Amino acid sequence: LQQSQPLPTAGPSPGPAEPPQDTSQDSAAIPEDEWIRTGAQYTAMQRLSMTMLGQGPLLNHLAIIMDGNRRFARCHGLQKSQGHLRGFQKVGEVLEWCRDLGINEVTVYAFSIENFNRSAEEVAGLLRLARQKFDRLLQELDRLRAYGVCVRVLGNLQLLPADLRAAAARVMQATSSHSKARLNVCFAYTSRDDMAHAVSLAGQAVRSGLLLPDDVTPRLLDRCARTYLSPGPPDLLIRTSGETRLSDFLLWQTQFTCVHFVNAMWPDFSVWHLMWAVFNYQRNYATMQSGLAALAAEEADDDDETQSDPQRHQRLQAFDKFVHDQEDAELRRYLAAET
Amino acid sequence: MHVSTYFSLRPSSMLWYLLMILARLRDDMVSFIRLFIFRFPFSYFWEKSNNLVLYIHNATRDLTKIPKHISFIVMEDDVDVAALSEAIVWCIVLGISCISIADKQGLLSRHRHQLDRLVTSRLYELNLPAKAVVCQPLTDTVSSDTSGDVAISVVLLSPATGRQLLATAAVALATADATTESSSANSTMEIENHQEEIGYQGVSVEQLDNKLRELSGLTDADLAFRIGPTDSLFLPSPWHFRLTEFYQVSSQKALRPEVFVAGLRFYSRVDQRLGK
Repeated sequence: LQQSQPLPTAGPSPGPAEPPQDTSQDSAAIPEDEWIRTGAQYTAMQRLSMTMLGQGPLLNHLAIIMDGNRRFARCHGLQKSQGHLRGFQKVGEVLEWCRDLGINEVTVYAFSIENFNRSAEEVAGLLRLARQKFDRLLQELDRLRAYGVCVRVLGNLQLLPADLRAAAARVMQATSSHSKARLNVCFAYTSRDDMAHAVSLAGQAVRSGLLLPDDVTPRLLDRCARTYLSPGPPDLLIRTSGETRLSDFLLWQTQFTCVHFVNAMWPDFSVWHLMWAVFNYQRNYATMQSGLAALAAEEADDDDETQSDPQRHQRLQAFDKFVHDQEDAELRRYLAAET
Repeated sequence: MHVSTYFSLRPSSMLWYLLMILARLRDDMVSFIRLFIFRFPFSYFWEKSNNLVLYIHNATRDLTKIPKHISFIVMEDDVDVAALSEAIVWCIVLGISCISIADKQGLLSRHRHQLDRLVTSRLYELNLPAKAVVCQPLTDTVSSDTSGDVAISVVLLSPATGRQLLATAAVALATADATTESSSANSTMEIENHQEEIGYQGVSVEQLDNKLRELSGLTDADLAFRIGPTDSLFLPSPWHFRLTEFYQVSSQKALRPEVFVAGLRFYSRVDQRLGK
């Protein structure tokens, strides 16, 4: 059953129904290499399931730990690099499914700081692949603009080689004004590093007098974590390859998140896996919401004080600007260092 | 033949509710069958209280690794103090030194004395050497300095206390004496509103880890039993659950020694590559 019309999406559609003119410079790239794809073909059962999922609570933010590329390669007799390539290709496919399911924000765990412990050859191969993919992302800027996708690269970028840092900075700056959908690529990221970074920023602000020590609350740390621009924490976290741990990914942000473990390897992840995960999120929605409400009630003092104390409000505004300026300065440094 | 992509809303809603009911039935049936299969062959062995210790020791004799810190994360709305106290006893029988329990509403701290009483009386019943067991909320361990005196400490966590712990550590590190900081700082920050040069290099992961350990006495959780609806989870502490293996248990009533042992077996089989 061939169908070229777009699906009815549950929430506000992240972009126009028709794909924009493809002015991609690299016409020799195969469709599997694209980040932003169109024209996915769904079976009737899949379309029915997607429409059915639209009846339940909507999913806003999805986080994915894309594990199992090397085991996939081993099972299929491929090289490890082939496994990683297939993993990257799967990302484009899944982003399209997310768009069709109305998921506006996706955070993926592409490369952990712990992965630097792998063999030098594998790390070099992964960084080379990443450079190609970031360049490819820059070539698809018009599609990113059309769909309003803001791409952020989260992580300790100082650990990456200069050219990769500059490519990441370029992507972030080029898409910073987009606001319909968000794609966060966690590269050279661990959650502990994220939390240490947030604590450092808060510490700098306190030592310089920008903030009082009483201002440092969990809500403030939300405002200086690497995900500070995200409208909300992850609603659903999926980990592939059957492992049942979080491996230092978004630990601060996953306070009440539906955590779904899938046995399939990442390149074998299918739209059915995704839909079953979303369905499990919908089943747990009431539980999660009551927990979030209890947490918000306990931390509500923070907001109450901000409302009643205009000086504190000003301090927090100044701190937000400080965090933003820090990141801008860092990105400018990376871009300048390359030239 | 052309198939319409737009299905009317009503059948889809009904199908969604039907699927919710079927999924719930499936989960209930699976947990019932598991309980039945587990219970019947072992019912003779552990119904008698003094054989519980034997059962746990025999069942875990061949395990290659035992967790040092076990956490129980309760995702149900109410707290079954009896079931949780029993779970604490199993951990003590096994020799686990660090136990934490978390519930999503933060109700456990109200039941701390009841937990103490139930655990102590059960240990007495099992003829185990009397150990000092203290169940205390994380806020108490943060403010007290005498955590070293207690033989077994059970820490009670709630969603807010874990986050507050990090904020407390952030303030403590920020207000620490500047002379104790690393002297190899070569990055100075000029902040717009303030002209002073600051030799503050920020906080490293190791520094933050040490400060949190100093404040809370908690080590990283190795194994966490998440008790409640499938896939629902909250992290009791953002720092200590980095490499924790999660084992799903359907409800607090389903917490039985054989389920506990199944979780331990699962943990000992896992191979953590740590990024490699």
